[in-house]
Amino acid sequence: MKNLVIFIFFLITAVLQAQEKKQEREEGIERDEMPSSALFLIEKIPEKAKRVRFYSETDGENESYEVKFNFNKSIFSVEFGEKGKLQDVEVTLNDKEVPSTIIENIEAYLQESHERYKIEKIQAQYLPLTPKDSTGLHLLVRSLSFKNNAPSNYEIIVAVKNNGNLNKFEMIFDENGHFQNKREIIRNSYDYLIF
Amino acid sequence: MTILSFNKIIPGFLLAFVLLNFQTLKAQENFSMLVDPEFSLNIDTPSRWSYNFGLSNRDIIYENEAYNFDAQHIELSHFTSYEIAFYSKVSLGIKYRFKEIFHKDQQDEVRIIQQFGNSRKFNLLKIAHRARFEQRFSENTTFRTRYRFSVELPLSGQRVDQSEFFIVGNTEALWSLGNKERPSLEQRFSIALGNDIWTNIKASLGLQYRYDDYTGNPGSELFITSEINLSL
Repeated sequence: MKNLVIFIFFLITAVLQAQEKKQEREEGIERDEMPSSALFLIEKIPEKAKRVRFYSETDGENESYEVKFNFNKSIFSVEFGEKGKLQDVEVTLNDKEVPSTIIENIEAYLQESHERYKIEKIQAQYLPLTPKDSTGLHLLVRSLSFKNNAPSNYEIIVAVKNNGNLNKFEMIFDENGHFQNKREIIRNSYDYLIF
Repeated sequence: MTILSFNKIIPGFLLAFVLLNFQTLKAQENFSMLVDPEFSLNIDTPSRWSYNFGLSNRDIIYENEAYNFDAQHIELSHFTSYEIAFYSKVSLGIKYRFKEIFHKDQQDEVRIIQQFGNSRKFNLLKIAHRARFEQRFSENTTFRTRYRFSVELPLSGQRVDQSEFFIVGNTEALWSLGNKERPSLEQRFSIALGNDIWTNIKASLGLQYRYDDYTGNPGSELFITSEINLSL
């Protein structure tokens, strides 16, 4: 009985420790729940766009918004900050849509620094860098014809193996495919789906 | 259709599924209803090894066209798994079913399980495949091969955050054979509504329909399943 009490105590402690982390939350919202200053740009999303969806996300302190849609067989994600300020536009690409010299540079980096890797997702990231982009419209138009306009960065999600360990990263490469930085992503356990 | 409308559609669909099927199912011969609550603990280590422990119980609540409570077994299980690739794990497991304490004429059962699991997220959906070989040792020895395909869908947003609901659906095909029994085929369909109560605790409540020995002497069972899953 005493052992059971100790076991339960450790169990509760472990649960409470996990609670102390900041609570991130992301959820689907309606169009009219988006910040009003973002609506101007939302109206400029092409009529042909399909599956237009709106999301809000918070990390416990900052709030951000996202509009996702499919256009010309690609998935677009337009991200806004708290007050509806445009942060970036991301377009999910397949390998063939990335110019070959760039994908070669990205793969050369991955090969060099990891035993094995598997690219899960490639996104072209368009950032509002010039004064022209500040309204967002110019940036959106540029991203919509992404095949003719080089992005600011490429953001990839990649699973890697090093020294026997498996990890997942979000990596940023510049417009030429040169490595900039990386951030580790927590690999979800799907054990509850396979037991 | 926005993602929000899933919230309204899916619980409605679940309710319709239960109400429509329940009366028709009950009218069938060879039909029973059971409850199967489970508690499971997953331990993920920083290495490629992970461990899973389970405690469950099964009781018949409806059989031979009458409601009747009849405890079947208590089950202890353990799996040790090794990640063989980015999305795949192989596991070796053992299960022990205490049956004799409920039915003097039955023997306890030991099961040895070899498993291959593959799971990955594709945008909104988590997709999992599971293949198992089992050796069941009880009064008779039975060998079983089974494959399960599961899909998980978050009900708000693109991922399941704390206290958010998700839905899991799966179907499993089973093929059993033993030296004292005819080979039999079985198909199972499950649907469950789950919630991430805390970051590392999931709870789910669902239904599982089992259609067994459909090429021989068909019978069907409806399980009310519930699970609390703790991940450390």
